[in-house]
Amino acid sequence: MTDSPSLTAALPPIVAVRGLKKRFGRRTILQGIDFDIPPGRVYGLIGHNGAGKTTTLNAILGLTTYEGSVSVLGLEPFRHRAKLMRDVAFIADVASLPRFLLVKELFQLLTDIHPKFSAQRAASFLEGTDVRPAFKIGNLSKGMLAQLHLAVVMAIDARLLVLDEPTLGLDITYRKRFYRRLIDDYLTGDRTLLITTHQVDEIEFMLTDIMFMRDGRMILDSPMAKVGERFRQLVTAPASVDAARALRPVFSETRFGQTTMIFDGVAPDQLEPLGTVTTPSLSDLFVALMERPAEAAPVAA
Amino acid sequence: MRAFLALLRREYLEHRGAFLYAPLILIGLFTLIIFMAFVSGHYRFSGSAGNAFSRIFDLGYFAIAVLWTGYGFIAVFFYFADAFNADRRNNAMLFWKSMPQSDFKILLSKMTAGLTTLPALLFIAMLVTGIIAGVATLIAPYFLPVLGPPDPTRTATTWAEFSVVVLVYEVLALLWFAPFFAWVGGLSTVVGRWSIPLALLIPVIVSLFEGVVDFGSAPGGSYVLSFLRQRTTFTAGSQDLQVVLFANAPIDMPQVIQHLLAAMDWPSTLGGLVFSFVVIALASLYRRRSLKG
Repeated sequence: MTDSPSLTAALPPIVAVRGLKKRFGRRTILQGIDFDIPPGRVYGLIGHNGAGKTTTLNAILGLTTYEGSVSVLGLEPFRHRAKLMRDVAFIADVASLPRFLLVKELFQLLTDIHPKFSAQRAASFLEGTDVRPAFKIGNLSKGMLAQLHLAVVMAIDARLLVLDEPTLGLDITYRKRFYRRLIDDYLTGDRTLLITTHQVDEIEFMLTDIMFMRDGRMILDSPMAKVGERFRQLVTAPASVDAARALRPVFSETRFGQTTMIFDGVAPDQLEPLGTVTTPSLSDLFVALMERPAEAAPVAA
Repeated sequence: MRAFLALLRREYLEHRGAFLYAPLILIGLFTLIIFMAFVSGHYRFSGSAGNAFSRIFDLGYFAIAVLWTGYGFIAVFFYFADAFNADRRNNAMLFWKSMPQSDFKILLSKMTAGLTTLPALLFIAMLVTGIIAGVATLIAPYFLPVLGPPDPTRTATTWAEFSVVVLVYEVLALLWFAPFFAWVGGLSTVVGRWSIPLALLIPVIVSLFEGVVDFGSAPGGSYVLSFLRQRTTFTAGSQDLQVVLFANAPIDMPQVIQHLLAAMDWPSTLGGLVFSFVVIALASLYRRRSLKG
């Protein structure tokens, strides 16, 4: 999982998307996006509600029709969804497990219908949780459902794991446990993870690459290491604000007499005389880049 | 094949309430009623003595078969109205779509379960009820000597032969009515439980439209309704069969089965099965494009 981008980028991409468009009636949800996901990477796909994240994932998973070209593990997803799902696992909603089954019935069913599922591994992932084989899924709490669903997908020997808001509605304890489990027990060098969430700070530590979507467009697609090199956050006093603005920040906000600005591609030695320079957190960068042009005016104190 | 069998099992697990638990409860109630009748002495027999014993089980088991067959067709109808839409509940469609199984295979497994494993459970329930009724019949002469001496061999033979006849009858009936079940299931994939009224409403609207276009000049007022009238009549269940069953003689099993097979309209049955297959294929195309259906 810690392969360098240059090494993994040389391999054929797990996911290759070109000119992906999706329309619902007259409304265009995806405006023609392009991106590649090389193997062995952990990608975060971040965007506002309605930005097109889930539609993008649905196209990758073969769950919806689209215009453009999408290739996942060399297959066209919509045409070959069933075949693709041998090597792709996904959680789109932790509450989607069939509720009429007992946990052990679910494991037996999966053993029979998914050639890469191991009931033994799923059971081992559930050790230490409150989920028992004889429990009915419909009676599990949301946290237990999340643990069970994660155990199920981790027990599938998939090459690509797609998680769409996997921890929605869970409390912080479950969320942290969910991601810790994912990293400790699942992610290996040849597995690729694509994840969307609104809690960007919680997944920042595990990402190798980040993609930001806004209004159906990809506005950032970069390895995390390069994000740190490319974007700078400056906290400056009123006296230096005009000089800093001249360097064309992508985002500016003034609160309690201090102005925070985020710059794209400005060298640190240009910024350091103007105030304190740091690398912006993912959530700061998200707020900065997600603002539409009309909203980008500086906020007064 | 292993996956397909697992999908059949999944249908059983999801609908075991109607096809296992409810029949078990009904069998329990039936047994309790018979037991209570003997224990409390609240029983009565009105009829001619002599060969009464030989007929009491025949007619009793016939009534049991009619009731279970009726229950079965109602349960199967509601199964088709529900099962093709059931994956939509609680967002579970996303889970099923994450499995390496095609939409067509999943819908075909639902269709197959509705025509084989689930009715088979109800057939077993009928067999068990028949055994309980048979035992009760054998005990009955001790309480009602007018029935004559018990005849275990005849009771067992009647049970076995009549069960085979009912099995053949039900298999043929399921094949005959398969396109109606597929029609309800296909509609259910798109509109959920609204398929129940729509399954009837759509043919009515089509026939009304037909009447508007040709001013009712078609034979019987409507080609559509005439066809449906013919197609909803199960000719294998004709009066001849009832005459054989109610004759005051043991059932001639080979003759009855021969009659059933000969009375079937096989070309129409085959056409219905092709129609069912097409409906399932179309429903799977819809389901493939929709996370709702």
